[in-house]
Amino acid sequence: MTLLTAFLYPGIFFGIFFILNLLIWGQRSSGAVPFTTMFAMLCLWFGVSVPLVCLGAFFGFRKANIELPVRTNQIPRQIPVQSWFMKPAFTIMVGGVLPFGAVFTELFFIMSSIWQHQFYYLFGFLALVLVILLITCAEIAMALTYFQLTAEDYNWWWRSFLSCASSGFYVFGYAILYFSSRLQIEKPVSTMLYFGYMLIMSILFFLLTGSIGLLSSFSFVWAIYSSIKID
Amino acid sequence: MSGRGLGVLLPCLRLVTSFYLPGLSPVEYELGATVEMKVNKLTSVKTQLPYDYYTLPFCRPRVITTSAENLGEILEGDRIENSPYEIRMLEDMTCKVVCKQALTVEMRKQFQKMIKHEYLVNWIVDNLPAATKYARAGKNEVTYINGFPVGVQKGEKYHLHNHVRINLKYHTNPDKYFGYRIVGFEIEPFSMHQAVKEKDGVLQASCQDGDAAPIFDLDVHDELTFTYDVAWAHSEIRWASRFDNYLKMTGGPGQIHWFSILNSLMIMLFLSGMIAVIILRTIHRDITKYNELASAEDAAEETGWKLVHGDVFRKPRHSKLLAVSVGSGVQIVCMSVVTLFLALLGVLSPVHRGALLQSCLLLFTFMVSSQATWHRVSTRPFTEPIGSR
Repeated sequence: MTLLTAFLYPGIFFGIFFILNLLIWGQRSSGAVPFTTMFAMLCLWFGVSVPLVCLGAFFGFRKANIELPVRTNQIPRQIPVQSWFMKPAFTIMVGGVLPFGAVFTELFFIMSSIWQHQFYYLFGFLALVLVILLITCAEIAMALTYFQLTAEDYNWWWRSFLSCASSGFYVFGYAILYFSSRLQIEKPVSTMLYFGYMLIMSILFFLLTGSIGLLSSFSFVWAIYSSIKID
Repeated sequence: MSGRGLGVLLPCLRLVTSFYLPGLSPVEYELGATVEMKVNKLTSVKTQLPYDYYTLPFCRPRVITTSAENLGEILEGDRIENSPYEIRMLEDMTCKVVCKQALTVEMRKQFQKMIKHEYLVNWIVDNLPAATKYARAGKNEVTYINGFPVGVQKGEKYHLHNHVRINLKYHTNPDKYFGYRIVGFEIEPFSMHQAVKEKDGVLQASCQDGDAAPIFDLDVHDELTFTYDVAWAHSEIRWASRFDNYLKMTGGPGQIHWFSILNSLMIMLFLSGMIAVIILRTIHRDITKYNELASAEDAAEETGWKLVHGDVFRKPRHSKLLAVSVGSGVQIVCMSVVTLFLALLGVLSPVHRGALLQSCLLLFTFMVSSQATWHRVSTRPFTEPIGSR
């Protein structure tokens, strides 16, 4: 699992980056990263990132277990039939709207700075938006987890992750909209470049919001179940 | 986690600052001192593919040298090289010839292709990128764009910008420092056909001012001359705020943007506040109810979330993937928070080329240690054999 952490997502990012780089290189553009830089990045990954993940895992293993407040039964409980608005697909899609709504105005400026070569300087603002985003994600995840548990559906682990992470899909959708309305990119290579980088950005956003959702739901569930008496 | 995060942050800070960050401290030039002009990549919003300046047959210096670059600059495709343009502090020049060359069919094609794709030339003087002033259509205000176009396309005709007026601004304060500091760098590009004659082995050109000059059409002429003017002007802008003009480039009626952002933020805050209140109150009621019921031994009628207490920590399907995603996610959260923090401190601003991207990358790799710890702890339930305790 430790190794998977070290390789899965960095591997995906690096893979996309590598393919895009080949495309840029094919165009003889100076945007192509030379071999030495590629090597330096691989060194950063394998020489710094991977050992640090292992170190982190080592410390993690040495720490005491988290005491779970309730015991898990041997036999899984039957989940009652859920009404339409509690179906996974629906809650996941709805959950992503608010985190996306919190960032999309800033997203416009960030995309303009990347693709229209404008300077971006509203870092104070961005920090504020990030804080708002984190809070919104946490609250949405907790609220949805609460409703779900009230409906006696206990499969909340993935749901809490995805209901926030779905905002990553909205980000990618917005990228498509931005592409068609604001940019005049015609070359196929440039189009692939755009969508490749936006894909990386969306995955980053997906993971960021999702993990906040899951961690907040976890602490929420842990808190409410440790405050009730169970015989 | 925060303690560990800080521990990771400190070496990072040192690392980031030890890398080359351009434009951190002011440079004073003496009267007549050489001000080096550097060239950067050619960029286009239309293709997003940057090219080296010397892929186009511009005038070349005798030896092309590349300036030191950091990781972020390389990733952004920056290639900063020297140029044959000679600029001296407070020395105005008019119509100075850089070079004259024959215009071949091959060169014509290259220029036309770049002009067609709306490529911009990026020049740098004293770490200050060149800006071009242009008036917004239909409005009385002036905005700046980064760099200047290689040329303009008028229907089937391509007009190459082969003459530039370099407007430099200096600031001086004899009480505080000696010499002159450069606080502004603007370019006015022109397309003109200069009259060139040779005198004592030196090329001399006469550039006609303004619109009177004949335009340099790529298809018409077969000799290409690059010329430039240099004009120095005093400015009240201090060195510390010389980047303000560039930051205004984002343009548009700024207040409208601010208003809309603020509006959405208010809605967000209000909404999350509401959710928080509802959840806190309902759950508090639930908990007291459940605990009362348990004491009254009325457990048969219990409903709601207490019912699933035996399953709530059941290991989910594909738990490994979930744990890995959360692990990487935490890493990204830490990276964003620290990067923004550094940006707020002013360590990373757009003024420092490539710094932002580079620090993101470094922080991402260094954050692993902090996230992995957290990740092991938080995902412990997944690895436990469920139901054994």
